[in-house]
Amino acid sequence: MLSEGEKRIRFKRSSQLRMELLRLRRHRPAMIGLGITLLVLLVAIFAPVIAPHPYDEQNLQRMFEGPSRDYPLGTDAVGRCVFSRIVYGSRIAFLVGIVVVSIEAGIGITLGLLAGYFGGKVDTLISGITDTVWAFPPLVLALGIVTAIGPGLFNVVAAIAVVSWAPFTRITRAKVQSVREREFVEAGRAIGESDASLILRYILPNIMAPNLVLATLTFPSALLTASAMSFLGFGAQPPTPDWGALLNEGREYLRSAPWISTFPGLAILITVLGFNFLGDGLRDAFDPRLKL
Amino acid sequence: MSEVLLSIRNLKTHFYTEEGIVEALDGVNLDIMRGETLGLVGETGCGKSVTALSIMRLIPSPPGKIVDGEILFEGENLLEKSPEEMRRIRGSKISMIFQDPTTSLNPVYTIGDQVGEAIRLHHHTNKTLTWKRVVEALRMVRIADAEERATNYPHQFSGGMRQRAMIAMMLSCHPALLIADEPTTSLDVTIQAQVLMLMQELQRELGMSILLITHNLGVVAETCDRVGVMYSGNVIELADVETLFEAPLHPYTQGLLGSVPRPDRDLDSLTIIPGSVPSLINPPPGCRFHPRCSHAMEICHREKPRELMVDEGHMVACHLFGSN
Repeated sequence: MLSEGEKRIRFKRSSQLRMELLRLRRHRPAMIGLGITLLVLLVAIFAPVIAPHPYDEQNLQRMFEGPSRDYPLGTDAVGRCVFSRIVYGSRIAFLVGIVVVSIEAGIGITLGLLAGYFGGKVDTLISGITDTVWAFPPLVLALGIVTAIGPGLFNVVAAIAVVSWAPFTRITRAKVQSVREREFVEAGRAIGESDASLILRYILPNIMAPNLVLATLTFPSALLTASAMSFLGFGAQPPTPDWGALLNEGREYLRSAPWISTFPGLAILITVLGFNFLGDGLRDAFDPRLKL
Repeated sequence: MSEVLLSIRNLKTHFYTEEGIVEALDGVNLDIMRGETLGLVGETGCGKSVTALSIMRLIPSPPGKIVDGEILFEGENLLEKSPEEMRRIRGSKISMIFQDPTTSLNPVYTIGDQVGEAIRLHHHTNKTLTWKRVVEALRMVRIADAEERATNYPHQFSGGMRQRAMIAMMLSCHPALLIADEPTTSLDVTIQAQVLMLMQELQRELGMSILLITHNLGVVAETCDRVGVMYSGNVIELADVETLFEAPLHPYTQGLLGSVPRPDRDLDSLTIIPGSVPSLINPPPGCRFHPRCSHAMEICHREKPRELMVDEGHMVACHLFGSN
C-alpha cells in the first residue's frame, strides 16, 4: 500500500516538473541553449575519446600548422593540437563554472535565508555586507585577491566566488520576506516546527526557482571572469588547457596563426551564449512574472 | 460546570510601533471549559486574533510583546514555557486553523506529507505508520479516496477540501484545544456549513474544546456553547449563547446584535452603532466604548468598568450594572 502511495507521490512530483519542462520546450532560444550546453557537457565528459591527441603532446616538427586532417584546428607554437586542447579545456570550464556557482549559491542563499527570516539586526548586518561586496567590480576585486594569495586555478575560483555571491543573497532575502508571511509558515509554527525546520523545509523549497535561474545565468559570467583572469596569467598555469590561457598563448601569433586564439575564443563565446539562452528560458518557464 | 481547560487572566499584549504603543489586549479574562465551544466575536481589530496568537505564543516579536497576565493551560502557565516546550505543545495539545485555506498549505509538498508532518513531529513515527495515520486523519475529515488524495498537491484540492485537510493536519495529534481563527470566512456558504458541521462532529468524537473566532454571529449561534464579546482589547460580555442572544446587557452587545438582520423579528430598521473602533494607540480613557455609547455616564469617562457577574455564568463589564 505504502510503496504504491510513494510511487504515486514521485509520479505527481515529476508531473509538475514536466509541466515546467513543457513550457521550457516551447522556448526556442532555450532549447538551442540547452543543446549547446549538453553538447559542451558531452565533450567535457568524453574528452579523451574525442580529442585526437593528448592536450600536452608536443610535436616540434609541426608547429604553427593550419587546420588539417591530423590537427582539425591546427597547432600552436610548440606543435600541440589546438582542437584537443579546446576539448580538454571544456572540462576546466565546467569545473570552474560548477564550483564557483556552488560556492556562490551556498554562501548567498544561506545569508539570504538568515537575513530574510530573522530580519532586524541580522538583516541589517547581512544586507550591509552584501551591498558592500556588490559595490566592488568583481574582476578588479578578484584580481586583487589573486595578487595577494598567488595565481592558480583554485585561487581564481575561490576569489571569484568570494566576490560575487551578493545577487544570491539579495534574491533569496527578498523572496524569503514574501514567503515568510504566507500562512503555511504560520501553520507550520502552529504545529510546533522549529526555526531551522521552517527555514529548510517550508521556506527553502519555495525560493529555489529564482535561484536556479540565477545559477544558470551566473555560470557563464563566472566562466568569463575565470577566462579573463587566465588570459591575464593569473589563472590556470601552463600546460593546463584553460580557454582563457589558450587565448593568451595565441595572442602573439594572431597575424601569422590566427587559429590558435580564434577557436578558444569561439569556444568561450558559444558556451557563454548557450548558458545565457538556457538561463533566460528557465526564467520564463519557472515564473513568467519573474524579473531579475 | 465542567473542568476548566484554559484560563486567561489579565492578558495584556502590546505592539511597539513607530506611531506608539498599540495596546491590542488590555487585560483579557477568559475561561475555556473542557469539551465546549467558546465563541469570540467582535469587530475587526478588537483583539480576537491577537488573543488566539497569544495563546499559541505566536505573537510576532518584535513588534509584539505579552506584557502582563497569565495563560493557564491544564494548570500550567504557557507564558512561562521555554520556546522548546512551547513547540511541543503546539500541534499536539493546542492547534490552530487559519482563515485562508488557499495559502495555509505549502504548495511544494503533497497534502499527505503536510498532514503527516505534525504526526511525525510529535510522535516520531516511522514512514509506514505516519502514512497510515495520515490516511486515517483524511478519512476523519471525510475526504473521499483518502489514500489517493493524500498524494495530491494543494492546488489539486478545492477550497473546502483544503480547509478540511488543514483540519486533518491540526487534529492529527488529537489536541485538547483547537483554535479556529475565522475558519469559514473565505469559503462559500454551503461549504461553510459543511466545515462547521464537521468541526462539531469531530469535537464530539475527540472530546476537544474549540475556541471559535469569528465576526459572523450566525455561525456563533449555530455552533457555540458560550460566547465572549470583545471590544477594543477587552472581553466586555460573556454568557452562554441563549442568554447572550436573548438578553444582552452591554450596550455594545445590544448594538452588535441589533445590527444583524433577523427574519424572525419584525423590524423597520437595523441598529447602527455610531462611530468606529477607537485607535488602540491612544484609546479613550475609562470605558473604551464610552464615546460611542448612548448610555455613557460621567464615570465612564474616568474609570474602566470592572467585570461583574450579573448572573450565573453571565459576565458584563459596564458601569450601568456596577452600582446597584
